[in-house]
Amino acid sequence: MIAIAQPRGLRNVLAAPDLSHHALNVWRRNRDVYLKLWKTELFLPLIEPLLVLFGMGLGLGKFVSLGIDQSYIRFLAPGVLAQFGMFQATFECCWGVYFRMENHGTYQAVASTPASLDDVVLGDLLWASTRCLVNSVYILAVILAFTPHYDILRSPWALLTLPLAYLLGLAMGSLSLCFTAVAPAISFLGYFFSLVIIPIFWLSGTFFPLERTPGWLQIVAWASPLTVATSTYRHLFDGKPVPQDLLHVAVLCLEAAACAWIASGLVRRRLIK
Amino acid sequence: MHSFTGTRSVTLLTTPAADSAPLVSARGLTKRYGSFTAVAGIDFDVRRGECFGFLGPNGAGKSSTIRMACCLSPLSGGELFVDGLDVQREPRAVKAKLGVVSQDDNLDPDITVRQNLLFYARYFDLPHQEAARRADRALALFQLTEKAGEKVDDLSGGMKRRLTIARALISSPSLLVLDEPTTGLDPQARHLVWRQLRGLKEQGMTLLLTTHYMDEAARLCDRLVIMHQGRILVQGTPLDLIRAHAGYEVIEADPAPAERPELLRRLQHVEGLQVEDTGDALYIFTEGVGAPIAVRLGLPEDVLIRRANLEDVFLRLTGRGLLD
Repeated sequence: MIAIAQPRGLRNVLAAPDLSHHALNVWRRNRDVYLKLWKTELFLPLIEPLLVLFGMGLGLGKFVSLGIDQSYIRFLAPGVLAQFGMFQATFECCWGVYFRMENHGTYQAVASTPASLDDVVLGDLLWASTRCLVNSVYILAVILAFTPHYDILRSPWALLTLPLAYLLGLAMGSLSLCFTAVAPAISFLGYFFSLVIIPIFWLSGTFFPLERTPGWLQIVAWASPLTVATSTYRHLFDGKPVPQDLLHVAVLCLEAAACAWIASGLVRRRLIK
Repeated sequence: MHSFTGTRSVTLLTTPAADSAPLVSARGLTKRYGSFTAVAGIDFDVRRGECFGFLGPNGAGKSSTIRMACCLSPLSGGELFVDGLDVQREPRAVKAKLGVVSQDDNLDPDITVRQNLLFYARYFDLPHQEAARRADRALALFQLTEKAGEKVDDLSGGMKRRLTIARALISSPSLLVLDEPTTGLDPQARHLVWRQLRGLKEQGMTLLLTTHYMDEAARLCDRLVIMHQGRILVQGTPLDLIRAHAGYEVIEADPAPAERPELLRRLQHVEGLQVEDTGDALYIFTEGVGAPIAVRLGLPEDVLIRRANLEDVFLRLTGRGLLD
């Protein structure tokens, strides 16, 4: 009998994912479920971002002075666009994935076909990013609609936020999936939200300039994909991208790839016994 | 009668003729979880066109074995081939040949009954037209056509199980793998599932199933193995196993305490009997018809005499105590 060493622990988690075109079939399943519901859900993703944008932008904005030529709503808008896309990807990869993985057995069912578990993970991540993109399109359209009145968008460069939204969704979705894959129970996802996502939300540089916070806090904040994306979104809204933005894109790519890699390893560790 | 006792590891050596090569072949198959050994180096072959069963109590290693065959669980040792393909080297190619019906219903609750079939077919790269044709045929075969547009949650347990089997068949697999296919179903639903599985077998499908229902194993399986604590105790056809390990008929005597010593004394004078004393009841296994023996033993006329069955084999081999 040949004893086969089973790769355990960290080596197994970090092993290269086994991917195929079936990841797209997983994506298509999610798309088909969404397309049945999208009309009824159409306005749902807009309610909260619009409340924040106009409630804070116009209400709080009256008391905020950022210097000439910078209204608070214009400061706020890029961050709102990034955040509420990000939330959608996070929800998909927390509760959506947890239900499919633990309650519905979808991961096991698909892994019984020629698709691999890594295909399922990648398919779900691509889908979460797609939801981030779809929500971003909605929000950007509304911002565009109000731009003549409030002077929010200043450049067609802002359209480049959409491919970035996909990347942001991938990075934040993968990060969330890493936690979902180790969640012992669904209530754990609430902790993840309170302890990780909400701080990321507040420290993203959306509501206040990060330069005015303590240095250590800035370092923490810049570790989050949301902060990186928000900064670049803001440059694109103003039509003044800087070389540093290319670095931001590279960082987002790197974070997305690293988290997706680890997430698929953690899902394998959880489900392959 | 053969020996009733002992744990034997049975190896069937098959001739290597290509056309009769086994569809599934395991040698020294081992599964360990940490220090616990779930499957302790077993050998078996599943022939083409047969229904092969794994019978055993909970925790015997049946599901672990099945999961390794479905490439859902890595082997800890040994080797396992499906249609000549190594499950460890070519899991995708192996899975393309399998239809898997898992123990828990893992249908997709977010989509309709028909979509469950269509979406699953995508993972086998079936063109949409072909998938739609097969889905409609499968829905008709499994009496689910009227439910095609409904959500899975609206189905009864039996319908869900039938849909899971229909889903596993969408790719026209070489091997249908079923892990406890009728656990949790009501009698009507079980019989319907059995009928459909027998129908599949008649069409030449190879079936591999686990069960802890003796009647299910006896009804469906051409050959089976009885597993216990990770090992294969015996293998053969249901009838051969019954004859070898439980004889022909069973007399279930339930003597009053006062009559018990006398009955035990008489039993020693009758040849060819195997007796199992459970403390209260006495199970007397006979090689021939039980009635004359019951008379010789002076048992009451209404003593229970019945044909030996797989349950007798199972309980004799795995013991009567609770196992988990």
